Amino acid sequence: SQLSNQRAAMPNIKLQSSDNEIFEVELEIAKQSNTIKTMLEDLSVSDDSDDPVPLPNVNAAILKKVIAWCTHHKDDPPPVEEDEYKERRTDDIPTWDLEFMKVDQGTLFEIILASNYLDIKGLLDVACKTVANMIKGKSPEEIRKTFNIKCDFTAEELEQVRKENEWCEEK
Amino acid sequence: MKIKWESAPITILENVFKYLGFRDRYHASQVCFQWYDAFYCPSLWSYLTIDGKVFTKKRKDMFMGPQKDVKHMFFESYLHCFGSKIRGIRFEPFDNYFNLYEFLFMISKYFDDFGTEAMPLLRSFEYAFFCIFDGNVTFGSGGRMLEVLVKTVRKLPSSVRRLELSNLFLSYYDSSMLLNSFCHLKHSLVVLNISNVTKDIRTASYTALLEMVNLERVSVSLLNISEPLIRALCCLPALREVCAIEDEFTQIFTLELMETQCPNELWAALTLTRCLTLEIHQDFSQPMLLLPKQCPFKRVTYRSKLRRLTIEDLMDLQKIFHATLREVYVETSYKTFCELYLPLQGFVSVPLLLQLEK
Repeated sequence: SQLSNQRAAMPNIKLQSSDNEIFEVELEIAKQSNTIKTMLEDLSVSDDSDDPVPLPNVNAAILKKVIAWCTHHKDDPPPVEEDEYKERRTDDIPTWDLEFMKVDQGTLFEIILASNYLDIKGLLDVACKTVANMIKGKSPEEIRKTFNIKCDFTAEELEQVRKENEWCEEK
Repeated sequence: MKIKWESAPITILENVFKYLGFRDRYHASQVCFQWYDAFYCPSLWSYLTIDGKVFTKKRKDMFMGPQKDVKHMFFESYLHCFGSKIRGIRFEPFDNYFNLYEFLFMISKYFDDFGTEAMPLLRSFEYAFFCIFDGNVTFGSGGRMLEVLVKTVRKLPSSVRRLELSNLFLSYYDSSMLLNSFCHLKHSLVVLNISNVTKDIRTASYTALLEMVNLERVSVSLLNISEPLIRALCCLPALREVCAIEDEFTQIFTLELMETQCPNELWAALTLTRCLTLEIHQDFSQPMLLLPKQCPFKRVTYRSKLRRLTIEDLMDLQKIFHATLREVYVETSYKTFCELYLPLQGFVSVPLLLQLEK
């Protein structure tokens, strides 16, 4: 049938992680990454080329996650332009993504770095929303604990920073 | 070395911070140096929305019930801290006129205090008034409220490219005052929306518009489409699009609307090099049918949260405007923008629309 022909015709490409693992994915799925898309256009790689695309900034474990996300979201409509004036919601993360983002903060951070490097807007947005949700309602000390951050302010600096925008605290 | 949260690229922190409110951003700014820097990313503070909720606190009043009080200190601190980064201000319509006045007053005071230094990056000022319609009369703005608006508009910096002052329903005298309050922007304005600026639908004074040499797009209410306006618009050298807006207030005046007369030569002169478009902001009632038939609209856009466009609507559009109409856009609550071309023989991409209807 026509459908199976189309499926057979769907070209694949190979992606190589920083630790030299090779992943074979459908071209359309990989192209959700603008970085990969541009690379392919710039290099004008022909479809039958078998050379893997090197991704030196993403390791195999994270690349696997990223590919899983892109595969699940391959039929998503293109992202709509954001209204700069609207308050950005964080309570609209789809259930599948909520499950997907149930990882430790280290992995979450690596997913963000990878989606930033690969320029996958949808993934970056949903990961940043997840982080924002982890920050909301917490005190500075609680935030540090959550993300394992060392405070690099001196006591005086911290006091100054606290004073500087104290008005934000007004209820 | 592995990158950690305390050395995360600013662009990434910026992306996280944009999902946080003031308080959470403030708490995050105290975490470490890098996060403190992220707090001051200009993009986080570029757009100011006044919707009646932000910059207020709730208070229970024994007699009046729940109230929203303006947080004056908070808003003033915000302006002092981030005014120089603001690129756009938008007033959404809300019915607490007391608070509306307070916000406008504080912004105009900020302009007074800082003069030409205030908001050097401001590109856009949008103000939509919450007018009231009681079945017979539309109550628009005026008095002290208008005074403080005019005072603010007069102080807008020359960096402003887009100005929207809608649904004010002013008297003739008041509308002239408002339309003259942005004369100082005559070289900078590119987009102007003065939809429903006046109550006397045919008689606003548009002389102030004549000097807007760089104006490319003007939006007015369908009600204000009149010979003097069209004549004024014909004089604008950079004008590319004239947008007529039909909204819930248009129907109030449908009788007058039907009497709209404008010589055909004038329409021809206007649309020779410019595109005339119609925007319909309607949720409930049947739009369109009472439109002046001689308006040569090229594009129609539906903006409706609840009402979907039907095939009958399209037939009507085609019947009325078939000589000039080329595009119909539909914007649903899902923000889907669907386009549909109407060459003389019929609808080309109807299936796309039907898909949308499901």
